[in-house]
Amino acid sequence: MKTIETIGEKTIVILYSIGEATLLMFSALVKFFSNYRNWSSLIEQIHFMGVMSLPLIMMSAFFIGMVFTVQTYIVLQGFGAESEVGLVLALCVFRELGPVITGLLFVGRAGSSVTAELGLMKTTDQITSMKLMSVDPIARVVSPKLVAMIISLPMLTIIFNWVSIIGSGFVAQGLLGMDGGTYWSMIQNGVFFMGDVLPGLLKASVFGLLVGWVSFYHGLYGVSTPTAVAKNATKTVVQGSMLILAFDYILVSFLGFA
Amino acid sequence: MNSKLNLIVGGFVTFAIFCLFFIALNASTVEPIFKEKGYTVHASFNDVTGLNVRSPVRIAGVKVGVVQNIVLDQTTFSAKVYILFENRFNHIPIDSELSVTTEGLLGAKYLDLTPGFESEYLKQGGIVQRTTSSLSLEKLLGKIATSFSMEK
Repeated sequence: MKTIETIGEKTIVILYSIGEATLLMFSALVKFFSNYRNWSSLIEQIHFMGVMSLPLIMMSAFFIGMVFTVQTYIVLQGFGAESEVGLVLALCVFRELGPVITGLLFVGRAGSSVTAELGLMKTTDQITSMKLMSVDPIARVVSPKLVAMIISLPMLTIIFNWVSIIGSGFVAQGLLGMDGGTYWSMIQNGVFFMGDVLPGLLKASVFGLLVGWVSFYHGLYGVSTPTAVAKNATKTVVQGSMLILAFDYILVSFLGFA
Repeated sequence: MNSKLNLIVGGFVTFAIFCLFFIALNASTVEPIFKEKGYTVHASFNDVTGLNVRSPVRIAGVKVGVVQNIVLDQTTFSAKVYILFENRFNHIPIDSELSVTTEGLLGAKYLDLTPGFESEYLKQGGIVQRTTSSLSLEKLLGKIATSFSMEK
C-alpha cells in the first residue's frame, strides 16, 4: 500500500513540474513580444550564449570532423569507396551530429549557467524585489534568454556544420591525400539543402526550446539554497541531454524530420 | 545600449550567415524553389528499378537534365519517365536512345542518352521511342542459375 502511495505521489509531482515548466516557457515566449525593451537584452543574451560558446563549438566541430573522417576512411577503404568519405561525413553531420552535439554542448555551457544565475537571483531575493517593483521577472529575465536560445542554437549548429566539413576536408586532402575536387563534388552532389541541411537547423531550434524549458524551470522553481543551486545546475544538464536525445528520435521518426 | 556588444553579435550573425551560404553553395545542392526553365519529354521503360526523381540524365557523362517524374502507365504497365532537359541543350536528335545505367558497379542509377542522327530535335512534350531498361543483376543471376539446372 505504501509503495503504491509513493508511486502515485511521485507521478503527481512529476506531472505537476512538467506542467509548471511548460506554462513558464509559453508565458515567456508570449511575453517577449509585449516588451520592446527586451531587444537590447536579447542581444546581450545572444552574445553570452552564442558568441561566448563559439570557441567550444568550433574546437569540438573541428576535431569531430577530423576524427570522423579518419575513422570512416579506414572502413570505406575496405570497400574501395574512400572517395565517399566527405559525403558520409557531411550527411552525418548535417542531419544528426551537428544539431545533437551542439545541443549537448549548449546544455552544458548555457543551460547550466542560466539555471545557476536564476537560482542565485532567487536566493538573493532579486526575483521577489522585481515583483515588488511591479517588474515582471518572466518578461524581464526569462523571455530574452529563451528567445536567445532558440535563435543562437541553429546559428551555432550551422557554424558547427561548416567547421566540421572544413576540418574533414583538411584531413582528407592534407593528410590522407585525397583529391579536393572529388571530395567537394561528392558532397555537393549528395547533399540536398532542403532535405538535409534545413531539417537539421529546425531540429536545433527545437533543442534550444528544450534547453530553455529545463533550465528555466530548475532555476526559478528549484530549491534555492547554495548547495541546491549547484544540484539544480547538474539536473539541468542531465535532463536537458536526455530530452535532446529523446526528442531527436521523436522528431526524426514520427514527424519525418530529416 | 552597448555598441561594442552589438558589433560582436553582428559579427557572430554574419559568420553564421556566411556558413549557411557556404554550405548552400559549396556543400549541397539547392533545389530550385521556382520552376526550372527547360522542356519536358517522356519515354517508356520496361523497368526503371533504382531510378529516382531528380536522377541525372547524361550525354557522354555530362549532365543535361533530370528525371522529373516517374509514373506507371496503366494500359501498358510500363514505367513512364518524364525528363526535364535544360533549355541550352536543345539540339538532341529525335531518334536518340535512353538507357538506365549505373555509376560504377554499385553506384546510383542514371539515364544515359546516346544521341541519334535525325535532323529533327526533341521539343516540349516530345517522346523518346528507343529505350533500354535497367539491367537487374538478380534477374541475370536467376537466368544463369535456371539455365545451369536445365542442363543437368
